[in-house]
Amino acid sequence: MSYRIPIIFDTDIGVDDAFALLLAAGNPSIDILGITTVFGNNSVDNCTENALRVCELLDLDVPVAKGARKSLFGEEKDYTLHKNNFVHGEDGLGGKRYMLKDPRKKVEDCDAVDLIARLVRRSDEKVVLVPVGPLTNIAMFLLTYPELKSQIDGIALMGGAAYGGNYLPLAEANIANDPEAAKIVFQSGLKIVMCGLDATEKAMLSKDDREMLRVVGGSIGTFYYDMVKDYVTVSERFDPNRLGPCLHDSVPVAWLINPDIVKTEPCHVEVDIVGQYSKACTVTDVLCRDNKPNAMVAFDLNREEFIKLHLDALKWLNRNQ
Amino acid sequence: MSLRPLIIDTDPGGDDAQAIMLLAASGMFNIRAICAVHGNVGLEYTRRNALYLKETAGLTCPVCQGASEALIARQPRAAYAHGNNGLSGLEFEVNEDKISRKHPWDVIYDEALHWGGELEIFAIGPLTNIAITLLRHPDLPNYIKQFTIMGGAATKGNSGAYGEFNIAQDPHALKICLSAGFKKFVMVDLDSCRTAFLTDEEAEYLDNLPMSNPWKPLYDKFAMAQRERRLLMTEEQRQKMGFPKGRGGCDAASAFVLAHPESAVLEDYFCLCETRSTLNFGQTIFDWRGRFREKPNVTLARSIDRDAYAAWYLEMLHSYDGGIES
Repeated sequence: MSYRIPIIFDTDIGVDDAFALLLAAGNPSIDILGITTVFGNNSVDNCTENALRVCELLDLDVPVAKGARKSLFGEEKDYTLHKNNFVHGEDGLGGKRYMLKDPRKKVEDCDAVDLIARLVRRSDEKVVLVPVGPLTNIAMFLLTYPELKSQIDGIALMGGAAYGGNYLPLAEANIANDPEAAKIVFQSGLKIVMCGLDATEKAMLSKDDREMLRVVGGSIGTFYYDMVKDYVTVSERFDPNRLGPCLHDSVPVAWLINPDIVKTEPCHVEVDIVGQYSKACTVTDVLCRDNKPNAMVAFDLNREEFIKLHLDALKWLNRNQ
Repeated sequence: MSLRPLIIDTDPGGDDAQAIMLLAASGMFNIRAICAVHGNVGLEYTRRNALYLKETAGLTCPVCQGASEALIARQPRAAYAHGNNGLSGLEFEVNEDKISRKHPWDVIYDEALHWGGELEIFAIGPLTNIAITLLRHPDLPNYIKQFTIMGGAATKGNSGAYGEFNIAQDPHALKICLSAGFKKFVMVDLDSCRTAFLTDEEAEYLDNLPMSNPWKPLYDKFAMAQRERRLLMTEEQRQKMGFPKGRGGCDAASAFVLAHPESAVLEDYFCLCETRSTLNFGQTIFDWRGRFREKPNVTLARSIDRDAYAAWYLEMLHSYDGGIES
């Protein structure tokens, strides 16, 4: 068997997170060692429940551990009041979680940070961390297990933006949810691939693509087709001219599978944690004027190839059905 | 058509010089005063340069000198881009006694009252003079028809990752301007300026025009400086910086938008300026998605018709006395 990239998927699962997990689980070049959850799109309790159920759907047997309830310096949010609910639905899966079977798997006894440490220690190969939510767990792992940093091959993350934002004009939601954690991660010295809005807003799932989910994807594809419906509505309200909703969180996974699909440039990235309007901005210097590059920043992607990876993953997962 | 009364606030500056010569040549404006401000180089140079430009352009308006430093945070200059005297080392004599003793803040306000709401301001340097005018005369916006600036950047900056030089020189001044309540505040930012440029072929053609007019020495210095700066960078670096594929000139581009707004794509946005963060100091933030739920306070140029700009530039250059030698 050819080399498979060992990853730990850290997620506030969410609709697009679920697509990212599908992509990772359905691609033979990725070896998911474990899944850790974090607050973000929804409460960490809900996200953990979602992770277990999506694993059941994808027949993915990997350990799942619950992570941070809140940002390093912030308060725990009340998600029953939180407006974020409306992007991913109240259950975080587009209002379709009830369609998923009860999971057989139980959440791990240890927390996310300890699971990451355990998996990294056990792995023969250096591990890639793939966080697609707030970076709280990853920052905590780096703070608590400094001796394991050398066992990390790099971090391929979804978050930030060189230009613009979505949560605020300069702030992307994952970074905005825990800017201090992001700062710790970006200054860690680890290899970082930042898949921010510059590229992920090009990762659109068109109407035709959505139909294809059902055509090629069997029961899994049908669930994804249903799950994404409300996400489409939100996306259209956001920007009616868009081809479809963005699969933000799949972009770092797609980069791991085939770096040619995601165009990156070496940049210096530093997270602003003090600005009046620029707090949580991933300040991206494409010229690296005063500093050496510390991140590869994604600026573009090949949408057709990117979508095709998802359909291929669906086919692969359905191969025995 | 009657001439548009105009105040020019500037820190010349090679591209400021082009802008002033272009506007003077256009015959569309009644230029009421040129106000010098610190910026590209220190005030001791910009006021001299402003005086020289006024005389070269054949204008009769007063030249005043304003602020020598930013309101609050002092910043390094840009002599690397404009030569030590701001006009790429061009040597000239002017009588500095001719600089008006009146301050820009009073000249601008008096002119604004005089023109009863018709006056326009065109500011292409740091906004310190304008901010002082607004602090001293908060009702100024009532009497200003349009306030047009070259400043800010929607994406890449030229002063740090996101800062645009004019604004980064004095972000607090922009903050004051943004909340002053101008009826029309046109912002020609770095991104839009970079859509207006001369192609290498056009620039070469202009450089070799056999002209004998007062603009020529200035033009030649500017052209030479541009060619020299170009050699300092690879095409890849220029592309990363976001430079156009040819010869730019931000203030000239903004002068074109002032004269011919119909040749630019203009959109209204709510704009903020960051002054607390060191990393994002002076960044102009446009609320693209209306997150702050505030009314637009600027009309932002998103792009400029390049061909129209180039044609205008050529026409204006021709229009100076003497024209092309046959």
